[in-house]
Amino acid sequence: MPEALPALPSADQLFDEFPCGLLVTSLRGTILKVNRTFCHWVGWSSEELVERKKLQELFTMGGRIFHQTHWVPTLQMQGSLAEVKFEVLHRDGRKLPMMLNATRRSAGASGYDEITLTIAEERNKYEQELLSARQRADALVTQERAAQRNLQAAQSRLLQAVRVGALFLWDVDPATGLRRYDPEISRLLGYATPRQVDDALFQSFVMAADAEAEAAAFHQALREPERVHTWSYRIDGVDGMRRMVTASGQAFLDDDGALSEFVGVLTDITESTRLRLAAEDRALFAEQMVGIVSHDLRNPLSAILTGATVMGLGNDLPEMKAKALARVVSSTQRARRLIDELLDFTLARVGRGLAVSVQPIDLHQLVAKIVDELAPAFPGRVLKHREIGSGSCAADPDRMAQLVGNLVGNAMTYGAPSEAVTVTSGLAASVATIAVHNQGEPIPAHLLASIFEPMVRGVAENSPARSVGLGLFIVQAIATAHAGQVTVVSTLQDGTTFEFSFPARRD
Amino acid sequence: MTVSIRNNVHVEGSGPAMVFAHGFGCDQNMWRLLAPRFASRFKTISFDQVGSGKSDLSAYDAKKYDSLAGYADDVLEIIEEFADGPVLFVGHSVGAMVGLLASLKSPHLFAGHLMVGPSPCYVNDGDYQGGFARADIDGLLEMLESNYLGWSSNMAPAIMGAPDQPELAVELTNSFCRTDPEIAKQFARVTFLSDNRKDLPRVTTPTLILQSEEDIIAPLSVGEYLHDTIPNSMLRVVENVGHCPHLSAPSASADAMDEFLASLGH
Repeated sequence: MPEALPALPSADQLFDEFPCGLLVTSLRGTILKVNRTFCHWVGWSSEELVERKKLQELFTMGGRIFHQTHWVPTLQMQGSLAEVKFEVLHRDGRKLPMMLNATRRSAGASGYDEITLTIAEERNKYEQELLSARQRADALVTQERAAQRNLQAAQSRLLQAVRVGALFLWDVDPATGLRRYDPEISRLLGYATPRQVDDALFQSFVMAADAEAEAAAFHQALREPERVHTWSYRIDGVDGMRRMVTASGQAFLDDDGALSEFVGVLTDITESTRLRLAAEDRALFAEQMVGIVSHDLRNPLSAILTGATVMGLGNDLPEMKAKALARVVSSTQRARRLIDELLDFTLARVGRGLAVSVQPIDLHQLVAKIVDELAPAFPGRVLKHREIGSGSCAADPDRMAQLVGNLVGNAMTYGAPSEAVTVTSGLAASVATIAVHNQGEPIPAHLLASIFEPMVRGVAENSPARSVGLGLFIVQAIATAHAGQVTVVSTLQDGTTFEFSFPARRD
Repeated sequence: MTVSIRNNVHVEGSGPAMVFAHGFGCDQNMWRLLAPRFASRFKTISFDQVGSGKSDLSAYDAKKYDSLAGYADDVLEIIEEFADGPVLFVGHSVGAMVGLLASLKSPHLFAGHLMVGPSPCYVNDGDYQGGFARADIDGLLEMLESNYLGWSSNMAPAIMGAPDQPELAVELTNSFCRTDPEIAKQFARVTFLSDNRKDLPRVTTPTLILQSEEDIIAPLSVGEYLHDTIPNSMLRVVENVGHCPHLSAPSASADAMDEFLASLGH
């Protein structure tokens, strides 16, 4: 049956009601004719637009620049334009994205342009999404590149660490669960040249006594991927060497919880273990030797001291002999002090550290007593005690006497003989201090930095003024054992002050 | 790479050299109604700014072209290579400022500036009325972005033909005004955020300022500002609406240029 064709309205009506905006403008853009659809879209009446407005006046400022720099020249050049997007301003200021097509009908200077416009809200949204997707993709590519660079750097870092640290790599084949080894690992097994080492071969070298514990540690590492595991065991190499190795490893699981990767490193710790054990041996030996010798020396010294003291009783010795006897007593005392220092030094330097027995003390009273006891040893010199502040503190009283004795001995030796040596005990809320001050030549700057090291002496080698340089080292060891510190300030103007400060309370 | 390929340089005619520099937007084809009028008396040299038209896009260096100075260096290289003596430099819009910067660097290479729709600063600044607010320039950048899909891949294919331009090759139709969107955005930023006002008093080359009666990009007030500030300058206003009098009013533009050239003895 033939289609019944409808009767069409007039061309003008068709133009007005066409389902897109239709515009005719002069070459300069002045609107000459506009259809109702467009007027309806932009909220202007035909009368307000025709011969009153230019097309470009309906654009945003950015759009106008684009119109001048792209639209006008292109239309002039090629006579037509398609699919250009502008934001067209509604009368109320809203922006309507529209796609424009244009054709120039030109007869010399009296030509005109025909323009169709369609609203492109949906297309605009789609394009915005495309654009932002592209921007996201660009950002991802940038991130990916950065990640690649980081990965390369990490790999290089790992490779360098492996080479410099003489480490060996191993991993686990996720498919079989078997361990795989870098051929370099052959050297751990005692081979002179690298060769393929598979799981079974490697395990055959693990010392029988360690094999079970080793396997257990490995399986624990497989079960607990959240951390790096380390374990050590021994290997009996083909070269007859027994090597101690430390293995470390971490498992990585995929999204389903199955093993995807296992990263492991092996280190040969044979040499470092041997060196550490040897060093521990030496330290223990030195400690024991010094302990035995000092103990054995102390008894004969006590006998000498007792004998000399008995001989000095009464006043019946001639003056010369009495003086000689006094020297015997003081020399013996000094020898005993030196032996004590040597034992302390050995403990602090190579052994387990100084032993201290901390108890609550009255610092001012203790220091006053120590100063009283020390004073007679320095006839003709002034030794003063000063107290600052009040409060309580805890320390080892015998070690305090040792510390003050050492510092006062130094002050007397190096200080100006005509000036007093002052011991100041200080108590504040949280800190207790003991300072020993003397006037006189300052300590040379080059000595200050290392003055607490053993064997550093403040006077020339051949000076009789001082015996061995263990005193300040022991002072520092005592300070450390009290969680405190010793500092020294030494100037020509203010003299030299050693100050020991330590926490008044140790909780 | 040669300057010739980099800037897609075209030379016509013989005589004193006349260099044509396009502005932001399209390419050297902008001059096709104007340049031929001078080819009988001058050696006309036209080129595409790098990043535009058929310039070599691989030569686009985002750092170099981040200011007009990069484009000015190209101009000097083109003059050195293709001109025998000082040139008459015809620059449209930002192309005029590129020429101005080049001439400040090497004044001896320039006999005259012919500036078509120039502006030393597009953004309003205190008493100075460049015509635009900063937000307008941002709007343009968005516009370039949103036309990215249409303009870069398949810019305005001549689906409706070019009824009155049969001589226009299809190849030209497809490249004219087409730019890589990132380059277009950078060129737009460099162009519309440039401020060369302080350079104007230092110009020693005789200068023609050719303004359109009605041009939102380079309004008359900007032409007057240029005339007041450039020492040896002549201002001519042609009856034209729009920023491209060389396209929409080529005869009037050529007349004003001839008047200026005559004053220089050409």
